[in-house]
Amino acid sequence: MGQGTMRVSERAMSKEYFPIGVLARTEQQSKIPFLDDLSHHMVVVAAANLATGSPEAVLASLMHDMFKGLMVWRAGVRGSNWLHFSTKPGIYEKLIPPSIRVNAKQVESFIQKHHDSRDIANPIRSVESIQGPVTSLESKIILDQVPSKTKALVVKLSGRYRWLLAFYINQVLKQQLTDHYGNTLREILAVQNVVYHYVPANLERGYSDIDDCLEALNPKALQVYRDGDSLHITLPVLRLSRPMTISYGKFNALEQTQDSLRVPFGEALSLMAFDGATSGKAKLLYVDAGFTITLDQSVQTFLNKLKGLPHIAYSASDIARSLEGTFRGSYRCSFCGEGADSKHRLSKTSKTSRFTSIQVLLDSRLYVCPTCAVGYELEEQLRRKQDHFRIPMPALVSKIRLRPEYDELINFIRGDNYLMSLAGEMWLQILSEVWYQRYQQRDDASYLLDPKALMLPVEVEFIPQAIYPLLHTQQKKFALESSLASSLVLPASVKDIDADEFQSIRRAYQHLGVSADSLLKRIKQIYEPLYKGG
Amino acid sequence: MASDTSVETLAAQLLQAVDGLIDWGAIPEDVRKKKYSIVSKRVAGIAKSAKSLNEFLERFLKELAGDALFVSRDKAKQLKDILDQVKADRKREEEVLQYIKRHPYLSVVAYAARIEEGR
Repeated sequence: MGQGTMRVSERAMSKEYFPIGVLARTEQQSKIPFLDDLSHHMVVVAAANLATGSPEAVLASLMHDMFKGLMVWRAGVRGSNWLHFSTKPGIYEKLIPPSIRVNAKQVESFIQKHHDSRDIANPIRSVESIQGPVTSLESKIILDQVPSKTKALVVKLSGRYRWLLAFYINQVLKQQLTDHYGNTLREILAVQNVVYHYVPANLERGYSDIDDCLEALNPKALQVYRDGDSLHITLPVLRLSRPMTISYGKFNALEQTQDSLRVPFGEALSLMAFDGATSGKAKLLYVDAGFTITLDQSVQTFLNKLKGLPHIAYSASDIARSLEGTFRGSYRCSFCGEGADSKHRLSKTSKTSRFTSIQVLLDSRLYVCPTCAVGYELEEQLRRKQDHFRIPMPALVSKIRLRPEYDELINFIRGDNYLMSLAGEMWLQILSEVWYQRYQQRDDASYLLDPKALMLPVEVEFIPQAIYPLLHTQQKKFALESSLASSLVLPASVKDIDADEFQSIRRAYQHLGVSADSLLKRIKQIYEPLYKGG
Repeated sequence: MASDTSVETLAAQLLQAVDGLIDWGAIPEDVRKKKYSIVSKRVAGIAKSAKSLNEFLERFLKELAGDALFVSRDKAKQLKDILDQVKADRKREEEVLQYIKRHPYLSVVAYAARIEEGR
């Protein structure tokens, strides 16, 4: 037992808490936390303010909550208040170097008045106070409306090939978004990446006055500077054990090292949200930064990248209409039931494989809708590559808890209560993606079995989730996933690891006292996960 | 006391004690290589219909060892001790059985990891 106790305390200091961050905000009245990372929250607000074209509005958005990590709390009439900005003249102005060409006074004014109801034109306030990505509560099921400050591409997922194509279009959209956000930011602020440095505040005690706290703070913990095409902002955090960097920008892919995370804009600012099982529709939502990407553009970009696909009798526009469910054909698609106009030749392997439909067996040319025609040919191509795919979904939160080092400072975060915004879902999706990357790299077994994210002052225990639109085993040709409610952690030959099983594995790890490495090794051996990365 | 130990640990200890009774050296290498994979499927199958912990252990042991079993006093004592520990608390005994029924694969993962670590 002694050994077990020792391991637990060692774990508390291990890499398992990656990625680190600070809670973005609490709900104004109840003070219940909105789960989102502070740096991500500021990037979302800034992205929404790209539409204003104002460098001051964008920079102010990127900096507006930068003192939140100092954990300055003060009891007020309506409960505790999280003090996070200073009204002292010049405090922000002096942080902004001349190399960043903005009206620094204006930036300061935006930040200092972002909670002032009299400042109705405040760009930060206008993003934070409407039912948009920051405050929109219902995020998994978006009904008819698209929340303010977001845009959406609608896709209909009524069949297996539709999932496959939607997966690819989502990937393409994220790349397009990354380029667009990066280019727009460069036009406005002459940078295309934003780098947040979480640094220890090195304060001996907690404060209840923000200006007292800033006075005691080492000035090096507060910096804003430009380096090449990147804007750097430090975020001092009280009782932070080690520094950590989170960058958002024009990157090709999500990348991580032990203490840094690089998130492409497209990953940070978009989300696949479902309308629910009945309509079978999904929205590819993204933060509205003043530009529009149409489904036609995404489909065309995707088709341009495709190589070696046989001729398809439909245009890019037909495919886009079909994917969104508005293509009207004279016939019904044999795969998904949507409108179809053209017959498609099926390959011999469709007939000879063990799992084929009677329709496919009897006729080599079927009416197929534009989406399924592309999806079918993609499947044929992928069959040869023997590849699996995953669409990371927002992680499930299984527990949140106040970190003990903040016990005496914060008395209102108790229990598991939290709120979720669209932006928070985007962050949870990143948590999932980070987990899958590390699974692929076979990195840090303890993190894989018991993943947690620090959003100081709380720690968030989460379960990664993904949808697998294309799976195969030795026995089955393909098990294409078409259900809307079928997120899994890992599909496996013997037993799928769903959220419940994952929690049981986590509990076993916490109680058994065996090393994470040997547990993980045996899980792979016994469950036989199908997704091994790559 | 049985209640001081988690249900996960007790389930793993029980399966491990049964595993310890088997002379794995006498089993062909190709089967031995897939040992845990095979055992996990057996545990899943047997646990499904077992009505008591005793019945489960008896059938599991029989499945692995066949009809005859030659065991050392030490190994037998290990199984008896852990079984006594579990059975000292009827509620706990039921919890362990239910855990194995619900999580047969995870139970095998746990005991295999314990064996690997020489516990």
